[in-house]
Amino acid sequence: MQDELKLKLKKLIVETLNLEGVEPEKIADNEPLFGSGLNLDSIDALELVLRVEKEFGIKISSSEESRKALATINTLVAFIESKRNPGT
Amino acid sequence: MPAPSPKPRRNPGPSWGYSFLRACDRYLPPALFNGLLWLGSGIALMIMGKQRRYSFEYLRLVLPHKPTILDAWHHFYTFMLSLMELFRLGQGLPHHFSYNESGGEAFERLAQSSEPAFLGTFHIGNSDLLGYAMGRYNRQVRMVRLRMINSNETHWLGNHFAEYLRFIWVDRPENILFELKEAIQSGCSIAMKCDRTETSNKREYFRFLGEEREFPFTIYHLATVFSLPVVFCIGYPDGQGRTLVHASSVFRPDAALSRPANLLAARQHFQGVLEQAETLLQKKPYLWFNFLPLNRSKRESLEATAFRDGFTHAKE
Repeated sequence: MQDELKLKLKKLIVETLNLEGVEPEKIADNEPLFGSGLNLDSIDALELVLRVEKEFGIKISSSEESRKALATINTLVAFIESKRNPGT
Repeated sequence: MPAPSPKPRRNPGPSWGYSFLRACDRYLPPALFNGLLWLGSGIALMIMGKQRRYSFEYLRLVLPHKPTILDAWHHFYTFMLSLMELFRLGQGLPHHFSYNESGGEAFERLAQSSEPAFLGTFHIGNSDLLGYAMGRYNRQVRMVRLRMINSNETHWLGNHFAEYLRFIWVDRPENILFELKEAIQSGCSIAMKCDRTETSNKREYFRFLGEEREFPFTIYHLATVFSLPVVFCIGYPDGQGRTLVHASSVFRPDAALSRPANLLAARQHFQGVLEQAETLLQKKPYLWFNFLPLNRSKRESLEATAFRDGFTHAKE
């Protein structure tokens, strides 16, 4: 289940940000998305936030929350799951 | 650990300067007040060495002759006149806006619709008034500003137009994109000036004043991300209490295109906007209130890089 979500997110990142030459499957689960890793910037982050919000029906409400959520694929999965199942 | 707050900035001149000017404008006879502005501009020119130097640097590029001290004084004085228009608007005095023929109709159509938009402008003439005056279209506007500790006019105007105007402070970068997101998602339009690069992290080179110069390009990135239109307006003083608005064509990102394709179209649009601004400045050169170093040119940037690389190489 988590693996499916991870792959979906990787595809979503590549598609949303037009990352030419990046194969979704090759993005490591713990690879930093910003700074070194995929070298995304703040506007990319904003675009990704909007897309994730729309796709998963969740709300990312601050820069700090987005920084934590969008650190890696693993953190993004954990964030989405915590928003979908707030009790767990 | 939160990032340390940047050192607060201030406008040049004494902290009581704006209040003094506003009081004089209110109580002195117009001829006497105008004499005071003439004199004040002369004093400012004498004591503000850096601003005088940058004024000359800009005027050298735009005037058909070598700038004289009288040209620099004219530049300072024109700035004072526009500042007074801002103060008067903040006091609730009437101000009349009319529109240019080429872009005015499209701008008014957009302004009268309920669609949020990005409203760009420059530090030219009465352009500052435009964001504040958007409320006449019943629009909620969020104005992106650099906070100055002695910018009283921002405080006055903010209070006067509080019903539909709020500021988003660019010197608090940690949350600015989320403030913009919240504002846009609640239907607000965003007004920002796009001729100073100091606080922009998306800059590109465009032809302006004889060279390719660096300009902030963030407004188009945001417009593309949010799929919202961008329009630029320049407020051209047209006598006391009157402004002729020169509006650009409206740039609208195409949802069917990729972000790079939209940004390519955006570059062409912004180049057109800068050409329109340059044409206006050639007619009225004192209207660009740029008392800071000119936007860095590509040539200067390449020279600086070559120098730095050469220096690093020599050290190795």
